[in-house]
Amino acid sequence: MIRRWWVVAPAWVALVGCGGASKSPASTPSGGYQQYGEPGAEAPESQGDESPGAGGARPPATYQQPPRRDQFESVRPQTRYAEPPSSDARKGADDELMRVLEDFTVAESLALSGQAGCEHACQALRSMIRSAERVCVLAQNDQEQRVCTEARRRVRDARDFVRSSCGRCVDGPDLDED
Amino acid sequence: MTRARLGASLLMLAALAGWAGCTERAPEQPCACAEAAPPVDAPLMAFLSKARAAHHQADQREEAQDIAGAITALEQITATSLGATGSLPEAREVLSDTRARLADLRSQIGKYDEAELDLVEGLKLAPKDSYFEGHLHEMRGVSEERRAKTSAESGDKAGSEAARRRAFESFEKAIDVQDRVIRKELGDAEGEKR
Repeated sequence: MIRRWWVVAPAWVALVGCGGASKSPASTPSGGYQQYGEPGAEAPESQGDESPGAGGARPPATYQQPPRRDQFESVRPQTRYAEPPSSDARKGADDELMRVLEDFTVAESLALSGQAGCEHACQALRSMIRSAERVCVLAQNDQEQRVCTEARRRVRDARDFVRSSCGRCVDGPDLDED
Repeated sequence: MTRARLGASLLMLAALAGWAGCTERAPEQPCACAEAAPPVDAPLMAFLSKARAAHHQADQREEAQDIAGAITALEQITATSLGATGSLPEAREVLSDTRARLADLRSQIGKYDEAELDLVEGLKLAPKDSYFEGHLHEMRGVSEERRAKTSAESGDKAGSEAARRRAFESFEKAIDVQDRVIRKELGDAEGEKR
């Protein structure tokens, strides 16, 4: 069942996507096309009749039978499908789609690699902070004190660098500390 | 329709179409998608799962102050025979991280020499200039600092001083490595040279 659903899904998406533009003429004889047309475009001739949904027309007081086939056919010629886009327009749209897809792919991979990089950097920074603290606790002579001072400076630099690259570390450390 | 929605719809359609292509294939026909690139190494996945379970068990035992029990749990990981899978980076990282934790636990109960053996083994496995390498140096510092304290308490001044010195140097090394890791991960070419 699931397998079938997934097979049908793309077709369904395509139908909904395309079908949204071409509602049944019986329900919206003219408005459906006007909705997707250019704003301010002149309404087709049928707009002035009494069919429901036409701009400004009041709904009928009683239920109307749906049009018979011959009536339907008489409505049909009044609706016009949009002209297919010219080959130039199609090429432009294809190029645009390709650009969108490329943008999306690049942004996605950058986001993922950046996220992993920040996670690792934050983890390394935590270890660096702990180690620097221990160095300073263990320092006894002047030389070791200098190493401690240098370790603190490096931690500060690393923290600044992580802050400027990642903003924050989800599991710590707090990058605003000094 | 916005660019993002358009892109997302296309990706969804492409994914659905690709998946449908695979799932609709007759069972006797192997799917080319699966053949092209086996995404996961089954023994590796089994090992990672086992390692996760063992670390979880060790967490619980450590919380219950059962350090020996936690060590036993983690030794299930290091005792696993991995064959070729053992050379995969993911396996090496897990093993080196487990060695670091084992060293920490062993040094908590005064088994400093055994802890050092774990650290030596871990450093053989840890990728160079990785968090895991730095963490192993940090754990050596922790272990040696504990040894220094134990030696001092038992009146072994020289032993204590030597251990303190080793601890100091190990922490210093950990700082070096982790600093490089940060620069490398965040792409600071100048910082890496320092």
